[in-house]
Amino acid sequence: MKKYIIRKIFSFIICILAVTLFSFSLLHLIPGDPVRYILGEFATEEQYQKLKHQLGLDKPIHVQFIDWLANIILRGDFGKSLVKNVPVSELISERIVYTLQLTGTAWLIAFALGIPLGIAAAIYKQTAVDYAVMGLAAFLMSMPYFWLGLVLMLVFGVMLEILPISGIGDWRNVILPSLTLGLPQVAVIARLMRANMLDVLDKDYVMTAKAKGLPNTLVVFKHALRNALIPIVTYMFLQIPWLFGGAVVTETVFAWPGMGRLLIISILQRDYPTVQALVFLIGTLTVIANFAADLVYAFIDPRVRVTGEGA
Amino acid sequence: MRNGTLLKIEDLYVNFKTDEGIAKVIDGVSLDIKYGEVLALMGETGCGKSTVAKSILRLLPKNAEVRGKILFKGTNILDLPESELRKIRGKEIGMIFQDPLTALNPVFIVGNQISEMFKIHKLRIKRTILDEVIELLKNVRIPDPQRRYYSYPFELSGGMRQRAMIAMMLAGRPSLLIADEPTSALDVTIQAQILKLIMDLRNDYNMSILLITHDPGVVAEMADRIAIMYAGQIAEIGPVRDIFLNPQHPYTKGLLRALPLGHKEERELENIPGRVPNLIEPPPGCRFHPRCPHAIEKCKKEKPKPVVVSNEHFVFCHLLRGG
Repeated sequence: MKKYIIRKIFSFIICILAVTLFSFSLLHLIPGDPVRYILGEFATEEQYQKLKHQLGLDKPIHVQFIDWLANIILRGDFGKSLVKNVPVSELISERIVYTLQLTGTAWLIAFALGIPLGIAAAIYKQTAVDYAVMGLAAFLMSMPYFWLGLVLMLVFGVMLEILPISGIGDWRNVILPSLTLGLPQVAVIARLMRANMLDVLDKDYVMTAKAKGLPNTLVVFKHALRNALIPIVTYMFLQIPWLFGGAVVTETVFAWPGMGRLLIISILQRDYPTVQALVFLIGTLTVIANFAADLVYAFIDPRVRVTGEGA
Repeated sequence: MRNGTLLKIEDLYVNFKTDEGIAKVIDGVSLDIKYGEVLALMGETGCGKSTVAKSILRLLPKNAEVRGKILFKGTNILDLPESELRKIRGKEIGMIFQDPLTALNPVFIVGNQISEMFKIHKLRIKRTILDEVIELLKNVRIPDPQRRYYSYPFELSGGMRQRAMIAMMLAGRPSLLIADEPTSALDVTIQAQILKLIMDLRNDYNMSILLITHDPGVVAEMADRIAIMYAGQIAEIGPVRDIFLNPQHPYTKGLLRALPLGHKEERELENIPGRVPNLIEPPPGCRFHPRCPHAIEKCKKEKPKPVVVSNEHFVFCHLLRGG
């Protein structure tokens, strides 16, 4: 287990480096210039060169990258926003809470609804319940975030007037954006849960459980569910980075002041340090989520936990 | 040991709805098991012997349609409501399966899986459930039972898993144990140990056993009586000696000739020409007739009725009518 963790941490570092290097290069490859953006159209060549030097953008790209990385590793400093002239860490820390609020609620919705729906569909296979759940899932899965968001706004905000349309405020403001982000995931999880459950219900040990005389609730919710949940729990962790990805669109639609919206704005303004920091954070989060998925898998599946080998 | 019949299956028909049509898997099977008796149900893969076993505890999948009577101590199991059925499952009738690895739940320790029996059937316990389970593990001769209680199935060898499975099914002190190919998935050396264990336990626990197998060696060693099945019908049923030494049905004869029994005279192994029939459109009458070297016109039309060969020995064949 110790060896396994060390190996994981090693690949973790390489992953983060690759992600940041890639995003750094990509950002500098796309056309657009932050200096021009800051100075506007009528700046002189002299002003332009001066600011470019001040911001360190006249150095070769690889030097910029190493400087940036060294600052993070040695000082934990993500640099200053080119556009707003405040530390990037400040910009992000103002927004991260909102994003966590949104993604956290969406995550809860996804599993709180997806798991029971999937179980119900499996138990009542090929009945009205199953068809209703699978139909709903197909519908939710095929809707893009921005459209689902707009529909929810229209129904609950404009027609029924029971929920605020956008922006932040109290808990009611969280409902529509987190539904937008969570509902497509409900669909994915319900389908996954149904498939796992059907697979497990066919296993010999479920027949054994019946042959022992266990009531149906114990057969399904102890013997079958425990096995069917193993892949779902792993999926819960793999899902986290996806939610952050979805948050970029959802936050834009709902004018939600989170990291996703900051990312969009920073890309449009070519605010290199802010974009870099956000990509770094999301990349790190992805790798951590994968790592956590592995660990949790090992924890809940005794075959992995005891022998350290995959089953 | 009581006399009389413990389990009586009368005219059992099982159909499976499949995409290709309705498979008539069991076609009017009748048999009975007496108190303390070991009855072997023998036949090729796919002849329906496992289906008969599973229909006793109503463990068949939802697409199965079951008709007939399965009388256990006089009550028809097929008529029982779920709640009554559950009192029979595991408590009155235990069942062990072919592959003990897949039959035990991989995510629970063995002790937990056995303890469940005491909780759900509210079995009488002397001190604690833990003690009872360890006692059971001792009875099935699992070494170091205190430690094995906490083992997961994958930590045990094949033979050990089957022992744990047997221990689980003994907890309720059932009067009937259904053993569905209990040794087929095990190493040959382990097979003998498990068979011996089952026979010893039969005496200790006073059980009847329905043994499903395709292995005549196992039958010869364990069974009192044997029922030969072919394509969902019983071909012949009788005491083991009679069947082995004086087979009457052409299928039984063919089956025994096809076995390497280790006779003194060297001979070529024979096979039965033809193939096991498709059960969606099974041959009418006696299902063996397309492969039978002696088939007569009547075999294609009428299902044979039992013919008495000797006391307890019956054969389902038109050729022996009055013979």
